[in-house]
Amino acid sequence: MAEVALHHVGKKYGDVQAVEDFTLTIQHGEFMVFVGPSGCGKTTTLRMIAGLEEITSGEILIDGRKVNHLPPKDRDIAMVFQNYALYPHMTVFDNMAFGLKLKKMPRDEIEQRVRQTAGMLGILDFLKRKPRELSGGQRQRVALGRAIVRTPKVYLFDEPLSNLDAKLRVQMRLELKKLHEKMNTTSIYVTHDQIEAMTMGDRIVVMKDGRIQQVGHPLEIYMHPRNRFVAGFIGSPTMNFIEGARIEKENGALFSVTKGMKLPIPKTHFEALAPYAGREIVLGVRPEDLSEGDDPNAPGAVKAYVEVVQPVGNQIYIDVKVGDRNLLAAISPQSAVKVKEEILLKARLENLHFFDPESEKALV
Amino acid sequence: MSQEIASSGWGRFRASSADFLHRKGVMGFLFTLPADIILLLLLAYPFVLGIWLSFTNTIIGRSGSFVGLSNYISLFHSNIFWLTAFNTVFYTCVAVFFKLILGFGLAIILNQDFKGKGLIRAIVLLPWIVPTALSAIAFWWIFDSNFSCINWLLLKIGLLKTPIDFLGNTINARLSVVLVNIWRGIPFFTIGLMAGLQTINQSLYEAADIDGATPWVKFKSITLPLIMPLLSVITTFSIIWTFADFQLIWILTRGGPDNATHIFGTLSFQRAIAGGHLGEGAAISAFIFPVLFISVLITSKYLKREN
Repeated sequence: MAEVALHHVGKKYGDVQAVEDFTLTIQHGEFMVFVGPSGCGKTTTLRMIAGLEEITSGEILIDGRKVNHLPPKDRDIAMVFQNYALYPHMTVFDNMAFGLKLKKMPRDEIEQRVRQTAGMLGILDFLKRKPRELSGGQRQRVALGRAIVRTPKVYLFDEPLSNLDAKLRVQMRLELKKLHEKMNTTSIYVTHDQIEAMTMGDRIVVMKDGRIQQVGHPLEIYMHPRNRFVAGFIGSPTMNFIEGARIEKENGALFSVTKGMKLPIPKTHFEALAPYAGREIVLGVRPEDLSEGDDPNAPGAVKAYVEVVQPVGNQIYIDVKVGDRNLLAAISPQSAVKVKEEILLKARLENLHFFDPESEKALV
Repeated sequence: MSQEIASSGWGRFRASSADFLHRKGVMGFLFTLPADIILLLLLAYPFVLGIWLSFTNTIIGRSGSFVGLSNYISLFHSNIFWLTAFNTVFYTCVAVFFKLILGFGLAIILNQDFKGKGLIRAIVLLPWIVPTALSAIAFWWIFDSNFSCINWLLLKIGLLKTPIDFLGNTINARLSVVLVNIWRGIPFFTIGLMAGLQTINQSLYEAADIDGATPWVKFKSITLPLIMPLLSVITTFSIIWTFADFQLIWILTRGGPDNATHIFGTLSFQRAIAGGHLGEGAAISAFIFPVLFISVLITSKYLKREN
């Protein structure tokens, strides 16, 4: 069992609070992703777990053992760095064997382990080369190999794919996921790319300004973001936020109303939103929850004026004007939508999001 | 009609000369020509002249005649020459060795993060910035047999009964000039290596921390191999400058006592300028060249292999 637990962990650089009150338990074998914009404290948190950064408050436990003041080598972790951090003057073999040699492992066992790992990663042919003779993707594999060969209790990944080109990144994402399924070792993965987070994580931690915003399964976070920041950060393209939408009560039903749009609120949300009747809220609509409609009288129908059309293959992104606001909709690629024409959109009402304008917390 | 021919002839000349100029070798040669001329006048000419003089019996005020290898042969039979050769090698080896060790150590210390590191780094540079002639004079006073402040201090606190004769005794004089050379040359190593240390990616050390490397292993397996190319270049430069040194020793001891601190540079100057025997002086200085040439050759071979 290698469970990683953080209790009220904090990190201060002078007066700057980089990480605050970080409490989280990562289960054995779980693939946990820390995601957030740059400067949100995700890498700092990872480095504190690695022991490369002292913690200012709280405690970190790996496998039930408090590691607050333990040096990195005694934490039984392996880390893959953003820039790979391969020793440039050593061959691939020596890079992978370095840690094992320091552990005083017998030569033939090192040889066998390195070869086995290199075989698994498809880098057997490069063992005698130096890092500068490898492509970005190959270096990435060597960095992975150096971590895997040590069979640690926990893997720490610091944006390992961010230096690869888009195509290779998708491929490596898949391979990393397969590797994890195979090895089933507790992994913590830091990224600023929400798609990487969504596709790879068993669970995701969304961070902002050194604080956890939400922890949950990828779809749970996507479907039920706890606040406006999470709603805007997770999902691509970004959610539309309609500020100043009013909740109105008519004949026992609730509507969210803004200029050019009157959307009935599903009954399941009545209880939560009834206190906001007559008040302004922030309405959130994901672009993919706006589709092309045919009945102007159907609930959720919205008339819009098309300003920009961007086909991306599997969808068409259209930038439309509703009332005096611009919204983005992701509609079917079969649509015959044209610029400067009216279009009838239909909002998926059960997927609407409502946020408090002050606290920015989700209301349902 | 004739005008037309002339103009087309001129046009053809212009076109062909433009072609000529745009050839890779020609344009490049023209661009480097000013630098080539400067190098020829200031380096190649004196060098060749020096070699030529070493084959003549020229003395100041009288152009000499070709005497073949006789200057070299008489040097080979001269005890002072062999003593000078020993002094030069001793001076270079000992001084460069300590400059390297101390300069490297200082670079590693100053590369750490601590308060006031900017100021300390500036102070370290001082011996290098002060003109050698001035610092040599300062040391001349420090080592003076009557007014040495070191002697004064050691006598005052009772550590010495009689003053040390720093520059009057052969062994002391040798060690003293080496010491001053080390003092002067450390900053060159420190600043150069510190710049090199800063280019080493910090994450390599972090990866090594996770791999379980001790500070010594990190130095041996990361710092040293990565700084080696720079270290070899800096060391070569230091060897060249130390081997061909002149002003420091000339000011401190003029090669004495009893020729114990003469190196090629000072002996050559003494024979050629002070003694007027340009031919013999030139022959002595000619011995500096092959040693420096070989050390440059070794370094460039090493760098080629590394890269």
